[in-house]
Amino acid sequence: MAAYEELVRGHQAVAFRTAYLITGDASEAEDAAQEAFVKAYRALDGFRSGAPFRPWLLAVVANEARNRRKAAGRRLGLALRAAGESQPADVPSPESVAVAAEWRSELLRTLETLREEDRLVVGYRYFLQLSEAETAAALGCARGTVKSRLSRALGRLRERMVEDAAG
Amino acid sequence: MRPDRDLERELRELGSRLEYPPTPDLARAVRSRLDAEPAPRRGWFESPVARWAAVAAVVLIAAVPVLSPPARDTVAGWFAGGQTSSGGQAGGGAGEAAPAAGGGQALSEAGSDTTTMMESEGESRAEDIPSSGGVPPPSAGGPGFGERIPLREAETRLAGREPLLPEARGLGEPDEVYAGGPSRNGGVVLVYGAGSGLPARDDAGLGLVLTEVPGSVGSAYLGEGGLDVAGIEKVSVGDGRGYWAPSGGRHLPSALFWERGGLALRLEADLSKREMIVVAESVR
Repeated sequence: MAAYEELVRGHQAVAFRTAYLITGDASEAEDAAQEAFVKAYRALDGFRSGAPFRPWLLAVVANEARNRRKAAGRRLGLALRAAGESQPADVPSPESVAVAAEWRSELLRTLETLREEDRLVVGYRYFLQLSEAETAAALGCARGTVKSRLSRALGRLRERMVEDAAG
Repeated sequence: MRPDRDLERELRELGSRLEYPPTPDLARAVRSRLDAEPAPRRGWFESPVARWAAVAAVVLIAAVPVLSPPARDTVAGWFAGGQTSSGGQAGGGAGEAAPAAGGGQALSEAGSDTTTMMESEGESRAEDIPSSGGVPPPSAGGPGFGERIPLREAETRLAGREPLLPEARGLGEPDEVYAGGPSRNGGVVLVYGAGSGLPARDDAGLGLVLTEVPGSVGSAYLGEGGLDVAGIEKVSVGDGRGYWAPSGGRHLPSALFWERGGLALRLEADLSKREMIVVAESVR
């Protein structure tokens, strides 16, 4: 049991954040991740030796989180915000820092307008830096689908950024 | 508009600046819950050793990538040639590093019922192959051994290499040979019954298990799990390197890993380190 506790400790951050991207609510994300770890433990004897643990775990986590969100009847939102900008010493001017910060806020706002599957594939790959296999597991799609879905999501994000800039 | 590559870079940059709620201490909460309820008991998993082995297998796969970089380098470096299937690859998480995704998709699509992941591991088909010696036959395969084959077929399974046999303790030819276990594509498992100074483990009658897989120790075993990294010690086997894992066996308590003749070998028994090395050095 101590070994499993360590295993949980090693993965609790990514599990919690994966759930949080789905639920947009910290306490629901906590419940989902906790339940997922308990279910994963009970299912360990079915876990194929040699298979990577993290994608499997994230599939359980995402499933739990989706169920909770459905039960709550809420629309998914990323519910994220960028950290306050601190100015690193090597940045030449305060203006460029402000511009960069504004750009990031705009990017996040635009991302929020995309549909759920687009937001999630971007969130998993770029925010949580999950691998393709992990992203596929969390999305519940085939690994080959991740690339095309990501490419489509990026395309839509670009389009909307252009539209916003134009109008 | 900037090309996608810039957008990707900016998204990563944005990702690194995002604020999440603090991660709760799930480890403690999960442990409390699991401690409070009896674990489901089924078949092979009834054995505490087996449950431990399953957890250890996962812990290994999962733990290596999250070690601090120097520790990761050390562990990866132990297994020659950068062929480690876990933790040795930059950038990829465990997901990309280890072989064959474990059915996460199927699980995800199966609703919240994680029990759909259950597999009947190691359904051995002990056909009418007679045991080669007078030693009582060990367990009929046991979990993870694969399909029982005659010894003469082992060479085919080892891509044309003759299986290596231990000579110490009068071991010689194995009592049973298996191939095609659920977790590996190639290789054979030579099984020796208890007796001849080999202590038995429980009632299974298993005395010694020698697994032979073409390739390196890293490629053959590290990603497979069952290896307790924390307890591993480097040892010499003949004039080569070996790794002693006192609690790293899958079928028997201890394991010794080494390479010889293009094969990655794993010897499992309930013997001391010195005794295991003697057996390993007699394998040829």
